[in-house]
Amino acid sequence: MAVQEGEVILDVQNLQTWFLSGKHQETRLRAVDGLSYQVHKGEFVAVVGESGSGKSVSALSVMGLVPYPPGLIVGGKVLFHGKDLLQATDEEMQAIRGEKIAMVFQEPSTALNPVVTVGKQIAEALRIHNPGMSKKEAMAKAAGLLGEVGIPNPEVRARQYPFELSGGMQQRAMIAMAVSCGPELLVADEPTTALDVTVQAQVLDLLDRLRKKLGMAVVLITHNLGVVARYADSVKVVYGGKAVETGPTDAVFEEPCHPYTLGLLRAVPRLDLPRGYGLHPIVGEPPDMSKVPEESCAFAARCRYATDGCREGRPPMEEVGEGHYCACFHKGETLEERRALP
Amino acid sequence: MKDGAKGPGPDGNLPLEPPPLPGTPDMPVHPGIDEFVDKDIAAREAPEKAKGEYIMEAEGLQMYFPVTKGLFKRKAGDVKAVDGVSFRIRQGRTLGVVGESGSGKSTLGNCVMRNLRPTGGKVVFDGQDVTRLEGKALAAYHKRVTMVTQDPFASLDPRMTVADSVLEGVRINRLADKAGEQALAERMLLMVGLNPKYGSRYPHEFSGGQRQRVSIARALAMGPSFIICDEVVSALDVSVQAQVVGLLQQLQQQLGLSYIFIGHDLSVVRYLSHEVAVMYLGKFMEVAGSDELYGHPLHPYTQALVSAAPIPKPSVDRARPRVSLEGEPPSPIHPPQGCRFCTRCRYAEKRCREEEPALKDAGGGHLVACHKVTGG
Amino acid sequence: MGKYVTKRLLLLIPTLFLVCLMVFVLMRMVPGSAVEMVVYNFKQNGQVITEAEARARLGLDKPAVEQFFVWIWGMLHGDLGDCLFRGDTVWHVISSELPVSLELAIMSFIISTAASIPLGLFCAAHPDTAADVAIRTLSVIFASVPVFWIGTMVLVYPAVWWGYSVPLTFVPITKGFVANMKMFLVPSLVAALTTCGNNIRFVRTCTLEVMRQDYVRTAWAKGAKERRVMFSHAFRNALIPVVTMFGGSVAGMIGGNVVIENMFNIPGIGQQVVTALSNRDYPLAQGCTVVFAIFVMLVNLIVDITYKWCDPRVTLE
Repeated sequence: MAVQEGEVILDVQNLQTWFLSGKHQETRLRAVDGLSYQVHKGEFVAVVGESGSGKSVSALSVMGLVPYPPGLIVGGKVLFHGKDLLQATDEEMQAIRGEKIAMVFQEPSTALNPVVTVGKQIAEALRIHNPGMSKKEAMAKAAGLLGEVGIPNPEVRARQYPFELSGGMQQRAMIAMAVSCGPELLVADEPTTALDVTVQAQVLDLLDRLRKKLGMAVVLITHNLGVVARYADSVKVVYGGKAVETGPTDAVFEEPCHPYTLGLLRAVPRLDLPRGYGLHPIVGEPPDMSKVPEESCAFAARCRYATDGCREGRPPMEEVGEGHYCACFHKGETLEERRALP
Repeated sequence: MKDGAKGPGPDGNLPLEPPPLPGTPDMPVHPGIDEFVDKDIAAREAPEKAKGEYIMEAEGLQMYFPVTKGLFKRKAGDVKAVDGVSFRIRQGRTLGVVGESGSGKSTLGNCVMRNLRPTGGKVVFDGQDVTRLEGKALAAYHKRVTMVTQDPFASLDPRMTVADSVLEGVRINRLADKAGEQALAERMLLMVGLNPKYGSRYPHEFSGGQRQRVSIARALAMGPSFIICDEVVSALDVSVQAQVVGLLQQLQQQLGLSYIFIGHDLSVVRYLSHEVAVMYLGKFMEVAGSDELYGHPLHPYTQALVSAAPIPKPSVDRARPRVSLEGEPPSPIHPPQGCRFCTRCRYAEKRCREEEPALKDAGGGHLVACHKVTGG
Repeated sequence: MGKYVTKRLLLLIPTLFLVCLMVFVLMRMVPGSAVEMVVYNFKQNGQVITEAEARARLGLDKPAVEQFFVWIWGMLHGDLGDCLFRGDTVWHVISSELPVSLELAIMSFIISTAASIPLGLFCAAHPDTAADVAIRTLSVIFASVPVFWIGTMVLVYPAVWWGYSVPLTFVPITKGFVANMKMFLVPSLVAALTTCGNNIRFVRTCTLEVMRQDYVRTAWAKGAKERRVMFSHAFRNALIPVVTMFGGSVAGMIGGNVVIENMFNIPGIGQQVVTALSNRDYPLAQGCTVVFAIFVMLVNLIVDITYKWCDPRVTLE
């Protein structure tokens, strides 16, 4: 896939979201620490990172849903069609959420209201943004949407409660709700982590189909690199609250320049290669972002190439290929290591 | 694939030997492990068996849970969580079990572990029938067969130090004196790649991966020869998952352990297993050597599973044939007539809906339960 | 639903029988007996009566088992027996005084609920603001101050400050609705105040707990406004534990307002039970306890049905 063309609809610039704790709020966990990325119209973007990398918090920051306290967006811009969402009023954000930017969450079993029928929850989303729509009309449309996302007997299902649906169907219903108002951007936060492999494939196929049909952009937040390879146009690898490598999927997977990206690639076993291949762990644990010094590469503590330079200064984001950017002082060594591998 | 000869090629003739150890030389996963191996553990272990003997055998294992209804708890049916499963595991080898949620794979693990009392069939461990063990005999069994479970947050008591957790079983069975306990806990922690000084800490001070190491240390403390691993890496991050899988593999080689490795991630199960069984609604659908199974999946369900697992290399992944699987598994209370998979199988025909296929050898020990593959 | 209610009502029968048996046995195991009371009363009036005579008068000369079945047999015919010391039937005492207690209980429950739910929700919507802290502080105070103290203050200070004296003459609801309401208002407010404190805090905690749930975040993500998030999503779920707790408190109210009934001169059943127990008035005490038991079981049934209405995941089996 070539470099994306078309209008940039979401432009996250140097976003910083901190979690403050302690008596005088002196402990500052820099969950998102200067994250920047862009999403083009209709693009399938994957944001990849481990737990604690700040990938979910960054999505909530875009939606203006970071719980305060303790979360606080302390800097940066989230430009949606050029308008900074961080400066928007509550009313403006309410009009955007669900209508222009929708979100799908990780655990469908807890993300749906347990005491309201699935149909009503979808109808509610429709009626919030279409005040003129009657309840009956909204319910009929909700059932239609459930059919659209591949739920059999949608009229019956619409009248059921979430607990009467399987995990896969709940996630389909969540997706139906998210796309009900035809958003321009769908943020999906680990939508398949709680699901089985076969259902995961079904749900992601559905997301991809809806993206093409509705022309919306999808930001898929995930830790599963395989999923990324299959669906994404471009990838943003996030570590320690910031993007360390971004670019077109093929470029990032074939020619990764950041040791963390390469580490992730080498840590998953590959079904297509002999059994002994893969599973090279990254030493250590994901970083505690309240302890990592601000002016250093967050990955330095786990990186095999780390030098004093990495511990004393943050590597800048530099272009390494067409639309392919990487923030590392040791791009060359990394790429060399990659090229020696199958 | 760049090097076709290395892959599980058409002839699938990869040797079923354990793959090389993970970890490059500059990344020692478990520093100092060697000096601690083989001393006490080996002494407490059962006499070393010649490699190749079957240590664990199950025959027609069944676990039915009754479903009751109404005021008088009338029996309305059974959830056939495990419905006639047989397998044999050699000393020092791993049987992988893959399946979707609800396939009964965890129940199978609990039956073999004898946390559950199977309603039918038998489990033979090291020549002894353990299906009906009770009391002391069961406790003795639990010294030799231990279990590690999925959730590293739920499986450790938050009010016990990790050393206490590790030593719990040892203390109950009075396997060591006070001085010996301390040394044992340190040795176990070191063995799983943790700092032995961490023994006095509490679980909340550890990350998910470290807790899972503590769980493994606890399972090792009694000196078992068999460990049942139930989704041990599912809750972990990829980078940490690789550490834990590597650890399990290293322990197997050093201590001659045998594993049942239960999981839903096909690639991880394959990595660790010598043989893999694919489970669906309480039955094995296909059993074969690890590379044979993934190289030549014969059962339509296995084919769909393998195809659904994405490969983190765009060029390869896009080129693979996709077999998509519609719908979700039916309820295990009312499994479909005939072949259990027939409701989702794209090859299903009349016979599949009427007659349940038996698990048969399709050649070279590759077992499949499918009319289309094994014919009559 | 109908089937479930029928089943529950049928289950009342064996439960009630057990309650009757326990009440009967326990009453008789209490030290001292009605016989001694009768002898004592006669002595006070200068008359002499032997214990045997007193026993015969009270119908206590028969074996206990026979007494029990006589009592049960009578109840099956709607006859709860006669009071030992008042020239009245037990049924008449209960039927005239239970409604009074019930009215007090219901009024205080309505006031308490009407105050605590909105206040609790308000606190949950604006946690740790000045208003929230103020309401919570007052809640703790009202929950911890004894009811007789509040009652005394209410009786004394309005009279001192504004010359308003709380009406203390009991007017049955049948004899004038307005006068009845006027007389019930203050005591039910006092009764409500004490429960309200705990209830506000409970509603607040439950709602805050629910506000942290994923589905509330989903509601925000849909673009819902605060009012909708609070009511359609947070409160509907918070209602589940709230119903359980409030239902439990209603059951306790009917016999538990003795102090207030006493202070405000309300002839409720609570007072009657206390007297009956201290006099060893077996039929009256037994009758009241059985009626309480029925009431508690009916309230529980209503709570369970409400529970099902609040939470579709509950199956009534």
